[in-house]
Amino acid sequence: MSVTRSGWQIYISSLVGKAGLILLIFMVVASIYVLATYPLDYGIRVWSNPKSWADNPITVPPTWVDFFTGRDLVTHHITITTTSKGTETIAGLKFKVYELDYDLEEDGFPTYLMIKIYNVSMYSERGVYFVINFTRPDGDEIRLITFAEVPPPNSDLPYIAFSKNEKIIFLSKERSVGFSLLTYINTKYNLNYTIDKLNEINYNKVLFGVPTEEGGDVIWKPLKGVYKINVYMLGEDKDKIAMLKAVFGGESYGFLGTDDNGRDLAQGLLFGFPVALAIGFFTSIVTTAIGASLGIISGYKGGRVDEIIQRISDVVYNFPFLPIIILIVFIISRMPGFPRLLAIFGAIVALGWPGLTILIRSMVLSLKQSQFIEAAKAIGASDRRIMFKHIFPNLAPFIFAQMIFFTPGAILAEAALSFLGLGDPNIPTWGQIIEESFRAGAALNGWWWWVLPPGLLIMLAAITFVFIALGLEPIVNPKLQER
Amino acid sequence: MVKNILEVKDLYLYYKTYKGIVQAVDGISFNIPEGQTLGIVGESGCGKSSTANTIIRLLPKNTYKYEGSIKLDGEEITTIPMDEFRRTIRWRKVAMVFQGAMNSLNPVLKVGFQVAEPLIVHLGMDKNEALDRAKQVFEKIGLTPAFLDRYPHELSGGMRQRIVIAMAMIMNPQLLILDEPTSALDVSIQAQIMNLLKSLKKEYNLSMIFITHDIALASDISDLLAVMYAGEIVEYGPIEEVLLNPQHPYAQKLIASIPRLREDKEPEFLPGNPPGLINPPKGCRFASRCPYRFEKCSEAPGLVWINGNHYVKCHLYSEGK
Repeated sequence: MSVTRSGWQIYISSLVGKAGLILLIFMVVASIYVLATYPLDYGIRVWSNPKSWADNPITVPPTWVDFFTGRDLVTHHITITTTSKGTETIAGLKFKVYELDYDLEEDGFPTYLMIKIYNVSMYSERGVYFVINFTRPDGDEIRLITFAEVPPPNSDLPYIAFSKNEKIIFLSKERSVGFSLLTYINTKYNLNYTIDKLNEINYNKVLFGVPTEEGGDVIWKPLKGVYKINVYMLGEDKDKIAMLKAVFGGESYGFLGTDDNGRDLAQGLLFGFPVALAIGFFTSIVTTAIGASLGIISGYKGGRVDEIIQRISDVVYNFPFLPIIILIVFIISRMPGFPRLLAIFGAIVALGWPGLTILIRSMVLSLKQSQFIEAAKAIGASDRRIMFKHIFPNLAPFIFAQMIFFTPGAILAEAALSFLGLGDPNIPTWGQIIEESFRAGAALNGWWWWVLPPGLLIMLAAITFVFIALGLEPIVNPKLQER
Repeated sequence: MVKNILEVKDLYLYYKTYKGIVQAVDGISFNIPEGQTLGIVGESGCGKSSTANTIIRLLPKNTYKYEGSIKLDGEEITTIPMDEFRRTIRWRKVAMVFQGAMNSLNPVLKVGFQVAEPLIVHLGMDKNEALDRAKQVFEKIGLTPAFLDRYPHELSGGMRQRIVIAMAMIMNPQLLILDEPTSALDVSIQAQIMNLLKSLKKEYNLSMIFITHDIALASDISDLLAVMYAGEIVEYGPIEEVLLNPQHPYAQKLIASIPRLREDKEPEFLPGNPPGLINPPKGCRFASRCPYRFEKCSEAPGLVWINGNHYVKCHLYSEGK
């Protein structure tokens, strides 16, 4: 209320104030973006659902590490087709052909090759027969795998296969692909490998590379160029595949890499913005409201009310924060169906209010002696009116600054609790992501992109509010204004 | 004969402190006829402000004894329950201007709102309507309505004091208590405020209690004068009689202490200090400093009526001296 125009000028003229405001705007914009584009149940529906990340490479660094590695890492690539290229007659049999292209531009091997077949409709009891061929830039065509799909007996036609669960063929792992490759390298390069030896080198190196000899050892070098995967389907004319997807696993992924479930960390961390802001704001608003109200009541009413409020504050104030909060959250989170984030929120509020209550009470004690409060009493104003119309405006700037100061504390407390495994695994908060990285041993494995960004973001959020509070300090504390 | 707007009889107000019981107001009695002003003078700590607080019932938490009779316009107000008193008497019938205008205004609220607030609290008016009324009162006391939107720190001391008076006048009270309304102001502003009070008194036939330690100022506006000493009224009467013909030795000394311009006379002063109000002397409280002290002074004196509405609390005038 007393933060007047000049107060705003004081705030914006300070460097920390400006920096804090810019950071806050950034956080708010990120949050708005998330709220506008993410589904509300993002955590359960997307983040914690392994299906939504099945195509992604696991624990790969961000794409921009190319700058530092000296070699372009193979980017993740997905090719999708829904239409057939045409038909081809082989040995008198008419095959429908689907083609999936891939251009290998980087000097490396895709980490895996996977093909997914969705919704195949069949119009005959004989079913369909698939042949998957692989064409390399050097013109070689390898028959990777063949398989048949038959409709179950007594089912109505057209029978739809792979509708609930798509057919996933891990071409770079599939054993029959291995045997095809053995034949291929035997005839082409005259290399006599066993299947175990091939497993050792990985199929993808054979698929996407050529062998060279260096000092008696065979080294596989990547072969750049356009690769084609042809899926031949033998069946009735009307039979068709609704969608085909080929996934060429990358060595890097997205802006912030992936975790051990293949989850896009950039997405999860972005979702952390509104969550952090919400936790910070809600806990600080509720905590400050409770703390300030009790402080004003305690200071103004005095007597037994004061005694009771102050003794309770003393007790709560001296609770060891983390152990008690762990206990509270642990107990609450045992209740079925109770959202854990709400438990954390409640626990921070329950333990956070007494500091402000004690502080505000002491300020009210001196304020209530002032003549204008006596005057307010004299005009017949009720206690409640005096407390909230006369005393509160005098403390409002201070209370507001305290609220801002409390915000990073709340964000850090949530991160700490999540790190300790008390968070909600279904909501990707920054603390939660750090906890998962810790559990997966990210630090030991050198998966820095999983550990550092959430840590830095928590720091950024805390710094934002500390900057704002520092910028507000000269307004709230007039003694600093003269400097 | 005009009716009495205020009749105070045997009023007591004791505070309890950790040192003992403070007898701040010890059995005082006085009347104020309608439209007249009572000046209460006395040195610091003699119970002037406590008297005012007792009438408007702003009692501190440590009140030990609150007794006696206060009749406002014939109605006994000491027995009214606190909540009803707050709603029906305070500010509606009795308003007060506090010591030091600088501190009577809330620094973070606009003065217009503060002046209008009694209307909101008592009449349940909405804010705009109340501000309209405040505007009218502002005009009456010679402030431009533009000041409604100012904060107290933007105004001078004199303006602030006017605003505090406006705040007191907004409910048209029957009795206005002024507790040293001019003590923090310079002399020219003081004169302005006094003129304002005089015009209000005339215009509204307002009864006032004017508390000050400045006898000259009290004489300017008062019709009656009460001299307080150590929690008691030692002399009370029409102002001319008390000033020109003081009877109580303390009143005599007090009036003699006023410096005079044309007389070649040193102002007198009283040696010694007033007694503490915790365990004051049993008899006359002025006895230890009184030049006319005699044996009987160890007994508490009663009220001695000189004539009509003039009394003194001294053994010198009691019968059988």
